[in-house]
Amino acid sequence: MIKFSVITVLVCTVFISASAQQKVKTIEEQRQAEGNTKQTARFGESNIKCYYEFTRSGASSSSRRDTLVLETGPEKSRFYDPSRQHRDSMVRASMNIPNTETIKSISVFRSENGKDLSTMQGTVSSRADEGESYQIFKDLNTGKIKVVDYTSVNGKSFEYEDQVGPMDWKIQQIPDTIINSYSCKQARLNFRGREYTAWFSPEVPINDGPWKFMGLPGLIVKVEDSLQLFSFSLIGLEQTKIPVPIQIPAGSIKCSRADFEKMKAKQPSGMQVNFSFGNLILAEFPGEINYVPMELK
Amino acid sequence: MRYLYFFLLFFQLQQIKSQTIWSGTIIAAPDMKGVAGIQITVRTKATDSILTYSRTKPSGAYQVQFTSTADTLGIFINGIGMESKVVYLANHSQLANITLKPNAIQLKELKVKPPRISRRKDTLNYLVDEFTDQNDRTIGDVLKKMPGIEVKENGSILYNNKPINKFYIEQKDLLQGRYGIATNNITAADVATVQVMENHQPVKALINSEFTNEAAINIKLKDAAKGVLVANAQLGSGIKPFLWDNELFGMYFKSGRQMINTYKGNNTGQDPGAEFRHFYPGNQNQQDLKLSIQEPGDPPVNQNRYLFNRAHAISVNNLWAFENDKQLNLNLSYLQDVQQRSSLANTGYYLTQEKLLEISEQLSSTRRINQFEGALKYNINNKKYYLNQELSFLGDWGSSNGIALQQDSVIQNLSQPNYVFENKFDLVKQYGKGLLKLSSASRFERSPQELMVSPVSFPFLSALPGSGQWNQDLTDQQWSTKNKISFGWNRNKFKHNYTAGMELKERRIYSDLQEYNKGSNSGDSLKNHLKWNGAEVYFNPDLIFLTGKFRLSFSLPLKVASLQIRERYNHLDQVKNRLFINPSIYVNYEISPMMNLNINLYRNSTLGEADQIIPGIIMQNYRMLTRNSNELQEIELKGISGGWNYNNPVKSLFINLNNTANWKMSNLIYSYTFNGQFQVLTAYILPNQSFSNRLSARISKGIDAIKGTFTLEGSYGSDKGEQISQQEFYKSIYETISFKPSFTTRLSPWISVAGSLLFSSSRNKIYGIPDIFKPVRTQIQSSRLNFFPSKKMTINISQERYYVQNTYTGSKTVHFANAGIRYRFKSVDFSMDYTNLFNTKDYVTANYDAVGYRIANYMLRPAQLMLKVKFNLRGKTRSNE
Repeated sequence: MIKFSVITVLVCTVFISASAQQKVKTIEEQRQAEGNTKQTARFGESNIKCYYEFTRSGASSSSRRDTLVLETGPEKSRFYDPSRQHRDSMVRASMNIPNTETIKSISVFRSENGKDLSTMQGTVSSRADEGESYQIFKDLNTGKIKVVDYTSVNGKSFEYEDQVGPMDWKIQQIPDTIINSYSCKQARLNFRGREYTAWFSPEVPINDGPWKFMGLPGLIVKVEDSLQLFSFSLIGLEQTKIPVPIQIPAGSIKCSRADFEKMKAKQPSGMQVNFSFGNLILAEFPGEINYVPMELK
Repeated sequence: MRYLYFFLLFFQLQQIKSQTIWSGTIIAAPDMKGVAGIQITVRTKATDSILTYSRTKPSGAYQVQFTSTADTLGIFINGIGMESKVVYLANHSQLANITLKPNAIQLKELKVKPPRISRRKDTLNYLVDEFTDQNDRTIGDVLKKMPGIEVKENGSILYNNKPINKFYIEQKDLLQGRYGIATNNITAADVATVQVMENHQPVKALINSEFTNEAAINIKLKDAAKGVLVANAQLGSGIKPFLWDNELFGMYFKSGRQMINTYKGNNTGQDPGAEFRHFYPGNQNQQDLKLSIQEPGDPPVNQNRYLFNRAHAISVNNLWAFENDKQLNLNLSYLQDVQQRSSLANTGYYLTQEKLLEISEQLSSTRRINQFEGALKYNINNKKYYLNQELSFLGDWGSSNGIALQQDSVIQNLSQPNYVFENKFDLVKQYGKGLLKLSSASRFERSPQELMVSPVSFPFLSALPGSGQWNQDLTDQQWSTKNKISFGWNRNKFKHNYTAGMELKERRIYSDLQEYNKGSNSGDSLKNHLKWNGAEVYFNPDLIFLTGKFRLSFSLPLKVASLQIRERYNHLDQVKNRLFINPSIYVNYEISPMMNLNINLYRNSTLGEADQIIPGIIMQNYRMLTRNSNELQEIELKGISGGWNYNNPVKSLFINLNNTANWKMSNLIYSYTFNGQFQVLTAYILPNQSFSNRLSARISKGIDAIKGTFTLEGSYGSDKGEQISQQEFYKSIYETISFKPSFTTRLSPWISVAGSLLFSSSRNKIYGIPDIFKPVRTQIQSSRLNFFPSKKMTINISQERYYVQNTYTGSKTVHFANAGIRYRFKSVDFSMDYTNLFNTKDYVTANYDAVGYRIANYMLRPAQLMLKVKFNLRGKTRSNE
């Protein structure tokens, strides 16, 4: 009798804790729908949100524009691509079918015989060459950054540390130019194999900018490389009413920048998921990605 | 490395003696703690150039070093949330602690401009504010300017050349297809986004099994317009004669409740009943047998130029949404209108090649409309289950009277009530992989009509002595029920669907033509007592093959139709049994996500309707008698249509190309014969063929830089057919071609321009006969200019030019112009409109009949001046005003 009740209590506790865990997980999932992993760690807080249009002129003639976001505060900042994060989280969510008994078949197509499911109804997809998968976390005091990134939507995420500052900017003694209503000064920088020209505005007293750029006496309003392969320009700026916490996703695999770049160069072309009538199709996009890194060394 | 750095620094210090180092701490009042991340720049007093810069450490400490020859230099301190400060210090190394006061400085904000059109999966989002200018009042005005969306003259909305299948407001279908009520009344400023949902399947249970290529539109309101009662009231008055134009509009939108109520009344030529039109596909009314009076038609100018009306229209639209996707709709509308028309018409009929019959008549008429419509609908729409129950009633108490003046004046009075009751039921349910559909529709319609003509001068009738006044009674009553059940399931790339159905129809047509006050019975040839009983049973296998880009559907309906026709007075007793096989194939190929190609091939055989087999004479109007053949019309139609669509929302470029060709075979041919000036419509049993072809193209391109949209439309149509005129057999071809470029643009914040030009040409040719019909060429040019001298004031000028060229009337040009001014004071709009500035009082048209022409001179509304005041009332004040 005692034995029986002990077992009952045990079973109940396990069940309750399991369901409680599940509940926590779902709330966490909802809150961090854009994060790659479920847990996060607090990194800092931001009170200014900047929107940059990022133009990437690929090896092919077509160029791609994305809107990336910089959330910056007095000491820390985060730079990421919200729409790419959203697309990827949609792909992850659709692969995670809640009732597994509704799956009648699963078909998987690797990139060598990849398929384009884009015309099928209900397909969610994310291409590796559309938008940026990285999230860059900067410590503006030390010039040290953390990059959280992944090479495949459904794979593990990686994290590497990178000492980028202080950056050796050369402020140009030329008259100010007005860009998007901000009065800007010009500065130049040679960074990891590319020559950059930046326009920054002392009107916005933040030493931050898009991507890994920082350390100028004013927000970077525009920056481009000498080959004009990459260009960031500020298209929006707003002050948040209350400070917004900056969270770093936890649980990533730590590695070095060089190791990650090697994996990135071999990344798959992106994932499509279609689930209808019990048939789950996972397909990589056909073809390969021609990855042009910003950092050459 | 570090040593080297120090060495270099030391070396540098040795070289340049005048290195200055400033250091210290930046602290903030009131707690006097160091502040991190404050920006420090050192600038010379004279120039603006930055000498050096730094930022404070987490402790608030800073250090800057520089070399300068200046005596004093400025240290600039800036930080978010802190006041900005400049302190001038002497050019020698020193310690400087600076205290800042907190100050929530507002940075110069930069609003992110979202693209005017953006796509997310199958949904296109149009930002309404980006398409709106000050002159646009309603969402309908703005919809016209969105590339890819086409708004027809009658208000129906097309996307990709296809009518939309649903019009939602906040994802709910409040108006049930009468979306003119929304597009003509909801203020553009209350709408945030217009969404086009491509390939929209309104029945959620069918989303994964039945594909549609039609789109739906969803109106997303701004938050300020939700959860509050939004009301507009307009009072308008003008001359000449005394004019009035009043409106009352109220809407309320919340998650579980939607409501739009409207009243419109005017005598200014605006038809408020146009808003009550049903636009959903498949909602066409049945063809009834109708008597008519000879009255002026519609000239091809804007309706508000020729409509002399006195109209009142009320609509009540309610929607209640409950949990589990249940929804209840109640829609009521009432329209009362008195319309007066008058025209002078010359109609010519070529009886033979040389002999032309010309009829000249002066017509005036008054049409009274009294129409009530009501529908109650209950609906459950979720992923597994769909139920729809709909009950509707239409009551029409219409009447017309008119005078036709030839040598004598003829009085015509028509009373034409019509009542329709309809019940519809639909059910869709998923069973595992299978899908069951059930649908049932029953309809009862009755139309007791009476036409009085005095005096009647048909030689056939007036040979009998009498009062000369004749009455035509006609009652058309029909009852029908349509039921079907279908079962479908999916297997890999194939979708199977099998439908079985049954339709029953009973129709009674009673008619009697008799002389007024004569008492005695009219002859049997003037009477009809027709009983029509039809039954159809069908089975339709339907197969769809679907891959990612390719889609083929094939259906092969087999139908057994049985028909019994009995007519008492003309001793007609027929039974017809037919088996019909009407196959069709549809292929759709997605060449790329932005481009698709489709082809449709079909064959369709049908039996004619009861109103084509009436053996007794019916007086249709004062100068037309009809007598149909004893034989039923049987039609065989074969057709092919194809289309190519290209939609590029990134470049705002939309292109559609369509062509449809139809071959029609019929056992009967209809012909007008003339007896003096009186027409008799007769049907002959003579198998004949006709062919028609329609080609249309449309290109629209949005240009963001000038906030404009350019559209090019072109079409060509030809109809080849056979006809009989005065017992002679002819082959003829009728061709039309038209081309219409148009544009709208908001050139700058204070000016917007819109314009269009329509060229069209039509010709009629009869084989074996030298051209007796000369081509008619028409040009319609219209333009509109809006100025916005201030945010509150709008001035607009518009003009239309109609040009018609033909041999009968020569070339004629008619000009119209309007001007208006609108001023907004708080939430009140004042407007003044002066329409028909040139006071153009008539309009001449020329067009072709089957074997003749018709030239008509219509009376138009004279110049008029209107003053209107519109109050915008809101349950809650809006924050953005």
